[in-house]
This record gives sequence, C-alpha cells and structure tokens, in this order.
Amino acid sequence: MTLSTTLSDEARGLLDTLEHLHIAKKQVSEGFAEFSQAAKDEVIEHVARTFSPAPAGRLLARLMFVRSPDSQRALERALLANLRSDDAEARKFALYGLQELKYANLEDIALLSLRDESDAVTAAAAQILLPAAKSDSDLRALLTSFYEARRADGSFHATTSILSAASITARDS
Amino acid sequence: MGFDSRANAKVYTRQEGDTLETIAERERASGANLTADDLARFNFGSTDPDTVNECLRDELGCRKRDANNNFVIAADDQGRSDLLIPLPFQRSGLPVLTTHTLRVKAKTASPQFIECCKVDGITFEFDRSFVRPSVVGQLKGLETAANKSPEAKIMIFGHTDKVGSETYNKDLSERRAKSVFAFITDDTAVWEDLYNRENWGVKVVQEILLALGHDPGPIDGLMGDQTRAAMRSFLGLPEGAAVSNDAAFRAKLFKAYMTGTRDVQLTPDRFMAPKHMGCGEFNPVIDTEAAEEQNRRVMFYLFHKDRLPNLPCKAGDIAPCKKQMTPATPRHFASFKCSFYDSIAHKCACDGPGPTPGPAPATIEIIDENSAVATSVKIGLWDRAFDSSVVAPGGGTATATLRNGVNEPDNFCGSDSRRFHFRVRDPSATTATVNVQWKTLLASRADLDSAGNPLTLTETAAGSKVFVSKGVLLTCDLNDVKQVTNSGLTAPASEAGDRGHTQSNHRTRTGDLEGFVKGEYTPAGGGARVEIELPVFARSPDERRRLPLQIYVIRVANGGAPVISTAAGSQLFTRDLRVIRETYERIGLKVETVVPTGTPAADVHAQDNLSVIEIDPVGRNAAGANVAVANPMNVTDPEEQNLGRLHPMVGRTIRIFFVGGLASGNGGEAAPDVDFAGRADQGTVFTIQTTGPYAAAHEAGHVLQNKGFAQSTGHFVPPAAPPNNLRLAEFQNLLHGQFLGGEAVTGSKRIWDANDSDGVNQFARSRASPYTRPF
Repeated sequence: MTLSTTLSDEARGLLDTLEHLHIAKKQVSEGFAEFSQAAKDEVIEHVARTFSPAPAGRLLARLMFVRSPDSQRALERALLANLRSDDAEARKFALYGLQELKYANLEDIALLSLRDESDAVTAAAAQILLPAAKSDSDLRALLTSFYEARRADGSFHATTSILSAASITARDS
Repeated sequence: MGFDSRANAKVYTRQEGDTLETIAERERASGANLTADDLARFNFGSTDPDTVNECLRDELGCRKRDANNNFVIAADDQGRSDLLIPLPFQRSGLPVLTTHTLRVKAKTASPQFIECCKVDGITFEFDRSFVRPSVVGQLKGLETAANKSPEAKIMIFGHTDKVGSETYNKDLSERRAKSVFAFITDDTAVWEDLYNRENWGVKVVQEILLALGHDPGPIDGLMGDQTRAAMRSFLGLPEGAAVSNDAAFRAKLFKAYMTGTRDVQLTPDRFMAPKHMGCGEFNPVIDTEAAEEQNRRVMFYLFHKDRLPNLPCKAGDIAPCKKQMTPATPRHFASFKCSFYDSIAHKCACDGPGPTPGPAPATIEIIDENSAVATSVKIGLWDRAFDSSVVAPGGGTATATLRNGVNEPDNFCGSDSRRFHFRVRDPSATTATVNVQWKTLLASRADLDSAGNPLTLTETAAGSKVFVSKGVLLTCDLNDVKQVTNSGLTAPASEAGDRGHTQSNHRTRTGDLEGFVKGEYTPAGGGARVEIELPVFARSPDERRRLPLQIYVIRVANGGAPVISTAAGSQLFTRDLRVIRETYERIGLKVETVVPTGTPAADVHAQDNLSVIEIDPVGRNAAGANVAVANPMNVTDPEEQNLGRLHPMVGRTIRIFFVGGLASGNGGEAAPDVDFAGRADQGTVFTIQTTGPYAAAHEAGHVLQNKGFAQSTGHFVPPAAPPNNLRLAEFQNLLHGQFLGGEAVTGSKRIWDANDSDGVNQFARSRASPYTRPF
C-alpha cells in the first residue's frame, strides 16, 4: 500500500519504486536518476506529513538517496517521526539517516534508543554514542553497563561486538 | 553322371493350410512312397524341426503357424523358391547286364542361428537415434561374436516403444539400426544426415565431446563458453580461437567418436543384405503403450552365410509388417506381433524366450515418471506440489496449499517431475500387493535414511504379476523430509491416509548427492531376494556439478568480532549455509567453499566441510588504495565494490559477503553478470542474516541464473498458462521477489525445471552457470 492519495503521477511512481522490497542497487547508486528532483522532494515532504501507514525501513533508507537541500528539513521530520516505529528497520534507518544529516541532538536520541529490543537499532545507537564516550566517562559507564547486561544475550551480538571493538567491555573482564 | 533335382521332381502348387505331412499324405494316396521327412531332406537338407520351420519361412515364405508353432503353407505365400516333390527315380537307355552305381549327395543344412547381441534401449534418447557412449561395451560384444564365427553374416534390427504412430516408429527404428550400422562402419555422412533430420543439436555434440575427454560443462544443449572451449580443445585450437558447430566440425567429431577407443572393427561385408531393418513398435519386449526404454533397442543377429533368412520386410513400409501379423497367434514370445521376427528371435536369449526358457525369477527396477527404466534418480523438485490459490495483496501467491491427496495427480510426491517408482515382476506372486524395503545410502554405502519401511506395490492388472509403487521422492531438506505424505492407498488398506516419516508407506527419503537409493524385494514364495541400487544423479556422464563459494563475514571493526557469530554451531552454519547447500543440492549442485591462498588460518572458521572467512571492514578503491568501510552495519554500493576489489574471486566463484546491513534498504543484493560485467563486485552477493533463512541462497540464485535488473525480470515470474505447470506457485520459488519468512515446506526455496514467463528455465540456467564446475 502506498502512502499517497494526492501525489503527482511521477511522485507516485517514485514512491512505489522506493517501497519495493528489493530494488536494483544500481538504481540506488544512481540516485533514481530517472525521476525529477521535484518529484523526489514531493515524496519526502509527503512521507514527512503522513502518520499512517508508517513507512517501512527500506523507504526511509532510500529517501536518503533522493534528498536535496530543499527537502532536508522534511526529511529530518520524517526520520524523527519514525524513531518509535513498530518496524525495527525503520528505527534503525531513522538513526542512520539523522546521523548522516548531522542532526543536532542525535546523541540524545541515540540514548533513547539504547533500550530498543532490536540489535540493529542498539548497534546504530552505540555507533552514534561511541565517539562521545571517549571523553564522557558517564556515557562510557552507561555503555559498559549496556555491554554487561547484554553480553550473554546472543541476540545483541552486533552491538556488544561494536562496543567490544571500542574497548568497552565488562568491568570484571 | 549328373543328377538334376528339378528334372526328377515336380513343383508343388501351394494349397491353403498344407504342411509337409499333408503334402506327403496326398502323394502317398497317389501311389508315391513319400514321407514328410523325405520332403524335408530333399528340399532343405534336414529333418530337424527348427531347420524345417526356418526353411518353410525363408524358402517358401510361410508366415502362418499351427497350434504347435510350426509354419503352415498359405495360398498367397511368396517365397524365394518352390517346394519340390521328388519323383521315383527313372533312367532309360542304360546298358543291361552291367552294374550301375548311383551316388546321391545328401543336401546338408547348416544351423542358421549362430549368435545374437543387443544394444539396450538406454543407449537411445527418446525419439533419437544417436548412439550414446555407453553403447561401446555392447558393440565390442558384437565384434567378438563376429570374429568368433567368420562364417556368420550380421543383420541389424531396430525397435521402438509404442509412443507415436506405427509409421513414424517404423522410420525411427530404421534410423536407429542405420545409425548403429554407420557407427560400426565409421560412416560420418549418415550421422550428419541423422543429426539434421532428428535435430540432435548441441546436446549430442556435448555428449561426444565429454566422451572424448573434452569437458563441455553441463550437457544442456546450450552453446556456451564451456562448450566452445571443449570444441577448441578437441580441435587443438588455442583459447579464444573461433569455433563453429558446422558440418565440417561434426565430421571430425563423429569420426573421432566412431574410431579411437570406440572403434568396432567390422567392415560392411560382414553384414547380410539388407544390412539393417526397422521393426518399428511391433515387437516390444514389454507389451505397454508407455515410453518403455526396454522396447527401444537394437538387435544383432549372426546367421550362417549359407542359411540367411529371407526377410519379408521393406524399408519405409509397414504393409509387409502387417501381413506378418495375420493371424496374430501363436507366437513364441507373446508380445512379438511379427511372425517372422518371432521365429528368428525365439532362439535368442537376449530378445526372446531363448532356447530353454525356465521359470522367470523376480525382478526389481526403478522407473521414472514416464515409466521408463531409470539408471539414476534425482532429488524431488516439488514442482507440482502447491495450489496457487491464495493470492497476496498486490498480486502473486502469498501462501499455497501443499497438494497431499490420495490420487497421484493430486499428490506432491505422485506428481513431481523427479518422482520415481519401484516396479517388481514376480511370476510367483499370489497376492494383489507386494512390499519393497527402500532406503538411501551415503557414498560409503552406509545407511542414510531407512525410516518408514516398507513400501506397498500394487499389481498393475489382475494376474499381470507386475507391481508398481506410488511415486516416491528424495529430499535434501530438513523440513521437507518431515512432511507427512499420503500413502496413496485406499481403504480397506490399513495404511490409507497420511503417513509420518517413520511409518510404513511414507514416501520421501533424505538423499545425498554422492549417495544412492536402494530397494529390496523378497518374494513371498521363497525365491531369492532381489535388489536395485541407483545413484543419486547419473554418474556417467556425471550429471552432478560443483558450486564453489567464497564466503566472507565482515567484522564490526578491524580486528573486532564479526557482525554475526562464526562459531561452530552458530546460526551461520546450522541455518544459513545449510540452506544454501540444500537449495542447490536439489538441482544436483554440490556446494563447496573456497579459501583463497594466503588467507590467515585464524580468519577461517569451518563446520561440516564449509568454511567462512572473517574480514576487516576494509575495501580497495579503484585507485588501488585500501579504504575503510565506514559502517559494516550499513554498507553502501561503492563499499561493496571496494570489498569486491580487495577480495577477488578465485576462478569463477560467487562471493557471499555477510554484512550487518545495507544502506540501500535492501535485505540482500547481488551483482549478476548481466548488470555488473566489469565491475569489481561482479559475481558478489551481499546478504544480511536477519533478512531470513533463504536470503543468501536467493541472492546467489540471481548470480547463478544471471537474473538482474536489466534482464529476465530479476525475480521469478511463473508460467502464464499451460502447457507449463499452473502449480508452480510463485511464493515457493527461490527467486520470488518477497522471500521473507522462516523455514517451511512452503518457503521460498524451490527451483523448477520449467520455462518461466520470461523464458528462463531456472533449473537449466543454474546448472549451466559459468560459476559451476564439473563434478
């Protein structure tokens, strides 16, 4: 199901393409060149304005490839609005998207995401927080606590591996 | 003083129903002192009943028989000579008072039948006359027999099964006999004619190349790179040289095939005239309308040069055949319709009852979906297994019902194109059903799966003593083998209905690509136990292929842990790699892993003979510099290319990279040749474990089948309509566009041997992929 009932034909076509479960990576790398920037901006603004249905993670991921300076703010809103999506992939791509957009309060958002039940989301959050943790002992302690709480849980393999690679491990180890 | 037999005899005038006995009786009534033996000795030089019968057939052209299977004369018989009735010896003008000695030189007949040899039907493909490499041993037997009997002349008879018209089959059988004769006498021109008439095609060229030791890749009838390389190898040309499958090439190829190690040293003068003949479908070994391989055969008879049979046959004309069929009985061998052929075959042990037929022992065979005798079996494809009745929102089949009905067409085992059946012939059986024990074996012949015995075989027709099982399947998938199967039996049979894997009349067994399937039958009447054992996939030529993979798991950071566990017993091995192996084992591809030379041992992790390599998140850019992958949990397209550049393929090998995520939002990505030729990531797969169990196998399928964005619709498109199979439900296909979900019988994992709407045969395309290797 698409999000749109009011889009132009071209924007609707682009939205349909972006929602496909699997799209050619060449198409992604070429930035969906067959569509105009106006249509791309229209899609981003449409997603930013739409609460239901919630966009899939793959759609949020692909919006990054069609953005422009004109759609930057709308894209931020779209990503922020889906940080609590039911779809773990949407939450993950919202974090990575905001990181790429250099969103001002990203670390606060990443902290909120540390209690996510998805390894992919907590991994993204950990990656965002790690640079600051180098100089912030409280944050480092928090991540260490996370590691200790999750290290025996194989379902958080990626996050604990990322923390471990950054020398954040259990205090007793 | 000479003696002219004709001058001292009268020519017999044929009368309907006459025998030598009735003729002699009439002569005696007229005052002559003559017996049937006298007539036989005078005309044929023998009183041996077999020889007399042969002479009645060959000299007088008899075709009708009496109740004792002896030939009788018909008014319209046309022989090559007349029967002579000797007259009382008279000579006038001889001097008297002198003793005259009359010396009579007795006519002595040599035995006509000397030897027979057979080329089995397996050597002929359906509707073709090409002589497969496996014929060599049998033709060498002919050479030996002919050399042992220099007085013998050879005659070739071709036979077909009953599929097709009588006229067509007459022609086909003649082509087969002619093809074998050409093979023996190295006549490439005949084969070139047959190549064009029968559209032998590239497949025959590939079979011959393989037989001559030049590997053309899969025997698939496609003129691909490997086939061209084999042609160059055969011609001794360098790599890249142009080659063409034209008449000149084939003349060399056929000549090499007919001579060399396969040469049969027999010249045309060792054959009688005519040298070969076709019997069409009229003399089947097994009286069935089905495409029975045992009925497709070529027979060689060696006859004494002085006693050659007189063939009533005519090439290209079934009228003489029909004449030999009236009246229809009796026959030595009931299924032989032609009186002439029946009479020459009855001394042949390999194509008739033989000289001293005894009670037939029980036999067991495995037959394929066309009732042809199988020489190998395959893994089931589940290609008619699902009802595509549940349509997903937006189109396509979301789920499907597994067809597990009691009737064969409604049953996933009974209708699978790779099913097989056990067939038992037991003349001593007294019941309407018999039981077979069946199991699968490993390459070592140790039992692999022997659960669920026995299997019930039902008599094909009351009193036929032929028993056939319901269709059974081999599986190679942990989930598939657990599937209950309807036994196909009906009440009051106690085993009617669904049967579990450990119960009798369960219809699947786990098969191994390097193993075998085995059936055993013990006659209830106390006869000897008989067995059949066939390989899983043919071994000569080897149908199996190898699918080597380079498998990488990216680390979260240099020297860090991998994004997914690579420990023994981890999901990577117990699910992801197992699913890849099972997926391609179905179509005869053995998955192996390749570790490039120089890979540090500490980076390699292995289980079940499959290895994965941990790699740091580093690639190599187009300028040759190593560059970091910014985020192994969110890999971009340029980074995929960089990873591909730093970890090149070893030979033509698909590389599978397990990463933490893809920036494109895709659950997995592949770079098949059609879209990515020349790029560093050509032939790579990037996959995410959380996407699901079929993700990696699915992406590898894109590369194997060369299905990309620009060609072949990328994903699976089911056949639009009959004659393709409507039961090819979309969701169950490996290349379905939406392959999410857990492991299940109805999961997206099947590869079918049928042309999709985009013209791609996934089975053939995968097996012929340049990413595969000979076994």
